[in-house]
Amino acid sequence: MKERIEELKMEFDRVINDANSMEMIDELRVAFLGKKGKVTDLLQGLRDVPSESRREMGIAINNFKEYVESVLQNKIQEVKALELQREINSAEKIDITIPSTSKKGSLHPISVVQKEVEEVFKSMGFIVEDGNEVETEYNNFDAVNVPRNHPARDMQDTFWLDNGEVLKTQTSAGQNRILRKYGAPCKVIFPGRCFRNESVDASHENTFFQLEGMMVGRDINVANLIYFMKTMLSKVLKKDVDVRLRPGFFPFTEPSFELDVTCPFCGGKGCPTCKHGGWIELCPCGMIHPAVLKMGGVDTNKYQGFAFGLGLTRLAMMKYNIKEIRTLNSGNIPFLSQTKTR
Amino acid sequence: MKISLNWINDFVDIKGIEPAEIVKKFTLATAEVEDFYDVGKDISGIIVAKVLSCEAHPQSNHLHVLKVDTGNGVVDCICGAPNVREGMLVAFAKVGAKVVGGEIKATIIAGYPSNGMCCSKEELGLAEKSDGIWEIVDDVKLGTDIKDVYQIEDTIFEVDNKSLTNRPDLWGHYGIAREIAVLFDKPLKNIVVDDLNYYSQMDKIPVEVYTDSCLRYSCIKIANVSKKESPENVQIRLYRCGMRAINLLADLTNYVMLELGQPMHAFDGNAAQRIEVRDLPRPTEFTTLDGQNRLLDAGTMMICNEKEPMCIAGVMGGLDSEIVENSNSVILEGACFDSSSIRKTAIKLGLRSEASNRYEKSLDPEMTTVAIGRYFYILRYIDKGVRVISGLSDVYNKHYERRTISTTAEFINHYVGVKLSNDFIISTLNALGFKVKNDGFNLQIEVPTYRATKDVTIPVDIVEEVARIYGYDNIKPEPVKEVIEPVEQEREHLMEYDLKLMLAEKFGLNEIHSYIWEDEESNKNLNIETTSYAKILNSIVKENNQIRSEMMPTILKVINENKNLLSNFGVFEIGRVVVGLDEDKNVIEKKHLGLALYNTQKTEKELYFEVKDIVESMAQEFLNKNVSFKLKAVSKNFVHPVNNAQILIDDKCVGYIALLHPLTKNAINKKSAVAVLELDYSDFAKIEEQKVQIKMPSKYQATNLDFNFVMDKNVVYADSIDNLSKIATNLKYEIALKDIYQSADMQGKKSMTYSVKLWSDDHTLSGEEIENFHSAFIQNAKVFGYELKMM
Repeated sequence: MKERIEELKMEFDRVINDANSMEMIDELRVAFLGKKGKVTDLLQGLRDVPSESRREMGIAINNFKEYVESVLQNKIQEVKALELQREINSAEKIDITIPSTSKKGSLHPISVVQKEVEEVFKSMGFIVEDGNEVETEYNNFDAVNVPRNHPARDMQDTFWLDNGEVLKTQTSAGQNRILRKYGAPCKVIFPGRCFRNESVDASHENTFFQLEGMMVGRDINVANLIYFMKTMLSKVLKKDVDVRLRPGFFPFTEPSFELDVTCPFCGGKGCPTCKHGGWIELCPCGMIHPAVLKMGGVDTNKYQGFAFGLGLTRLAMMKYNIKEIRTLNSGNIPFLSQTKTR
Repeated sequence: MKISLNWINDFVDIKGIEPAEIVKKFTLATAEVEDFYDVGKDISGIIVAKVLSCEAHPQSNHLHVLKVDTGNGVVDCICGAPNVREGMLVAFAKVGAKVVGGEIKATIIAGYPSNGMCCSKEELGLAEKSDGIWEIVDDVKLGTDIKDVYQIEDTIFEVDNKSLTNRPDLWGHYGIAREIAVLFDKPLKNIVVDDLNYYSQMDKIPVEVYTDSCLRYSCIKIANVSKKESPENVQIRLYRCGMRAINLLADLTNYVMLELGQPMHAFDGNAAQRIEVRDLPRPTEFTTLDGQNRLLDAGTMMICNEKEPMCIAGVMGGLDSEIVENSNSVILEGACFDSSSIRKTAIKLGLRSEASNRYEKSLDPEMTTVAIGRYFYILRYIDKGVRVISGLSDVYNKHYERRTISTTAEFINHYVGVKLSNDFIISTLNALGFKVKNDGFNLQIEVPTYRATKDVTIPVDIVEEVARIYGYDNIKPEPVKEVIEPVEQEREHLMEYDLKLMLAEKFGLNEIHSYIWEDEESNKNLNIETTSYAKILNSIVKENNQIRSEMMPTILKVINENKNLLSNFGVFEIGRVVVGLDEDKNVIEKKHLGLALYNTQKTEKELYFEVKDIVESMAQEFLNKNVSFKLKAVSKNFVHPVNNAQILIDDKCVGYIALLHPLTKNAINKKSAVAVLELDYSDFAKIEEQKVQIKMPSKYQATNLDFNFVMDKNVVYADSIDNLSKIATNLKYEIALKDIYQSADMQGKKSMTYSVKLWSDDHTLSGEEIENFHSAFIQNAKVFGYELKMM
């Protein structure tokens, strides 16, 4: 019996060495430890062993069985590790530097800038209104106090439609409708697309975006306007700017101002953008003309207010350093797709 | 407009004030100064000298050899000017003197020494171009520096004309001087004029005005003019201000205009016995003084003599009535015309003259006689022998009403947010020429005529006058005091940006902007026919006059223009379209989303499903609603006749998705796929959002059943679901598509596999219930001709 155990151990040691897959290990397990396996045979052979040495033999067989089990276990670990290594070694080496195929979308530069500016105004409690692009002559001119014979009404400045309406020449065309809708007091901005009948070149477009705002209340005065514009423009330009007012002239405000800000590019020290003056003209504004308020149904004995305009197209060109205004309406995807959505 | 500070100094003493300071204050309180610069400082050492002798150079046919008396010795000089001659006085640049372009050095020219140069006005920066050297006609001691005799040095500032649009009073030096006087608190000198009433006993030139567009017409006749050329200082000022000297009588009209802002016209003294101002009854040919023959419209206002038109009123004179070489008398016109009449004529003729530019601003009619008085005063000073030989004709057709404005310091202070005293307000207004009556509270303010033509009419105009002189920089910024209230933003506007963001970020599309008018040529190329409800009368390109009623034509134009730049892209725009006219004939405007995908690798079917996916995502994300489609319901000539579908939300059509008609698609690129989507965004945004209700999953297990039906290949999936859902059952179920199989040998049939999830919310289904549902489902399908196929 003892010899038989020794023999089997030598046999096991020999075959286990050749086992290099899970299948071969399984076969060995069955061959030695299975129901009809060699170790099981030994245990059954124990019955024929004389009783005085049976105990000793039993221990020897058990020791051998444990030996087989533990060697098999080790071998399993070894083979698993080998197989893992083989899988890793045979894996495809992927060139992740190859471009991915997903398309990156883009928003139009105006949309991005308009959103940024709108957020500033919303944070200051303004309502955002949308306006038409075709307006009546009344809304576009009469209601904002543009005289009957004013040059702005000429064919060379304004696109006229065959039904007597016009393509909105300025966002102010929305003033009357908005004053009537909200009444006083109110704080509203109304961005929109405007049209002028002028020849197009690198810095002139017949189709462009403005953003107009109004604040009407009992005591709104010029001092408030200056404070507001400084705060608002610092937010919009993301830079602390100073503002100054100069006399301007617009039919719908009185007094009217041209508002300059300290040049956001050089901080007012002087650079090519501000023509070395330290200021750039950014924002026409003024106290809303009493005639405009009256036409909007506002009681001018109680209320006054200011209005201002921002050139969204100009802001977008400043933000993205766009030199050619025409590219904005060009529909040229390689150009337009450079913006990010956020 | 160019302003000479020398000229300003005639009326207000600005010596000692830095020009930069004037420019800054003027810009902040009055109007924008675009640029300012010194002139004349670049030339020096130029003296008056006399040509003692002048001989032709022996080897040259144009050079002369001169001896020049500098008052301090005689020097040699070689001169090439055609007009050089013995005995003339010249502006002489000695060695070391500076002229435009450099310093004068002693040199040898063509073998002769030359120690200086006889200068032309061009070389001294006093003319654009000169034909010869400057002959000095004044009696000046030899050796005198010309800067001691003439106003060579000056500072010029250029005011932005646009910023003067509403200030007719600022179109001459005197008006500007008035502003500067106020800004620096200096007295303004009166303008000196001759009193024309002195000649009231004399016969007048008969004047008749037959048009409302002439507010006032004044004229006088002056004779015995002997001088032909303007004094040098007059010529220099005209040149500095951008005009050219012509002859004395014409130059002075310009001089007075630059001074007072009042245009004048000088007719030859023999040009008219009487004057009529009238509108042309019919189109007429007329030769203007620039020699051009022009066809004038009927209605053009003309100044006429007893026979014929002499001058286009306020715009340009005629050749025949011009001051000529031998004119020794002049009919001098000072007139005021209606601004819009002049503007229309000037634009029509493409003739924006210095005069018409001023008339367009609504000039003060009071100035016509002042200008004539000023003209004669200056002329008499220059040419002592001149005489007025007619009385002053003055037809004053339309007076502006005298304007008085009533306001209070309290109103002004409340409007601006300052605390100004009555005294400050009154003195400021007085300095600007307003007369103020003050009863301690109310201010009765009389507007000066030169501000009363349109500019200052109501109390807030007075606010502006006071505030700008006080200084906008002196107003202390103050936050608004107000009640804080929440505001509600409109959903349509809020959703728009989020929708764009989704299209860009989730679907990788590019947003574009396009014009509101259609491109006729592009539409023709792409075989697109459109409807338009409004046309632009004055479109830039004549054919491109249709306001778009849908987005797709411009979107497809963009696709077509980018097809050679990119092989796979998608674009969209939310833009405005005009979809009809209302009962007042005003347009009905809506916002539409236009979207198109272009791809050279994918199939049309794949792209068609991509646009479907986009519209479903939009409805689900923004409305929490499902979309259904009505197939083959879109009829547009550029849309595929079969593969198109209306988009229905709550059974209402809000747009369509489609492939393109082969004609249009092939025009873009035969080997590409294009799928499009147009959505009425205004309608879409008005659809009420379905509230999200979170459902708890059933506690009872669900069963999945698969059914495989054979049906006609033309059965639309959505219809089959509708039909299968007609099964009568109390159980909960959901039907989903599992597979579609179709092949040529199926004889017009296809096989559809549906997966049905079946459950109940209150109990576990029994085998019998499942059995019953199973057979009821098959039974119902059979009604619609869907035959169960054994698996």
